[in-house]
Amino acid sequence: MGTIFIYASYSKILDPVSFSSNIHNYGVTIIYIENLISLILPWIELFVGIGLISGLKYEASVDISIYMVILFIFLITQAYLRGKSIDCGCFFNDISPEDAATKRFDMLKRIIEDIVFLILLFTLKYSINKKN
Amino acid sequence: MNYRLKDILIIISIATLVGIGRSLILGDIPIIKYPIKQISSDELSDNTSHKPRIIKLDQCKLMFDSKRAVFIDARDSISFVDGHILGAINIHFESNSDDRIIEKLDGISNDNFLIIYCSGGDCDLSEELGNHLFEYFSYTNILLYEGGFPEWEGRGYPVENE
Repeated sequence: MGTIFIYASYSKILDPVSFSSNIHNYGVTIIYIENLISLILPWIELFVGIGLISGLKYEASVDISIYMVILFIFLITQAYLRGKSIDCGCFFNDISPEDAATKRFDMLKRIIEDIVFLILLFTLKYSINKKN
Repeated sequence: MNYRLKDILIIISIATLVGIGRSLILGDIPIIKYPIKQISSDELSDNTSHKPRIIKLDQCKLMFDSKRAVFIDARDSISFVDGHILGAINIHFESNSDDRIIEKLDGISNDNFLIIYCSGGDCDLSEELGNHLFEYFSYTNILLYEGGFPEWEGRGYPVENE
């Protein structure tokens, strides 16, 4: 799980400008804070990833990652339901049916992926609680 | 305070500091993003240097009729061939190298008005291309037409396909 978070944070840290326009594509934020989120969020992902692997601030890392994955699931799902691609920010109705089908499938795949991550993270959290 | 909550706050604070610090040191992205300004009709004949601005349909038509702007289609080549604003040049940012872009813009001077459009709605291809042409090619009168091809075509304004 930690590796996944570090891997996900890497390209966003290097290119906050594209990440900021991705955030814009979700269509839920006001424009003024989009850059700020794109600057901070990838670092949280990186630290959480390191935390999950090294065990440093482990419990906090598990908690934050659960919140983040829930947030991602919510954000992608709302875009999906509104018929909006988060890849290009375009609406499925405006692009060719083949493109729309691929993009729809990609988003669905990411939602399912995130749900699997969430289950894994809850297993981690459960094992912490059991130990305490 | 609950230890876990304290740790969560520590992680978020460090991430915030690093993120903001990075922006201040590298200066590649402003911390606060402002919406793009819209050009006023008086400024349509003023070609002093500006960051990319937004242009509305009626202003676009004015520039088109008086041939004072070069139209650039930022969509992919398939959409372009399907139909585009009459006389527009196709530059799909992701599939063109900088050399190709220079070739396509050959003969267009840096203070020329460039009107860049894509497929309207939330399409940001035109914005990406506009920022790139402004930053790396020093085009100083870039106008982004947000209504894009669907709005233009919907009004029955001149289009062509090839």
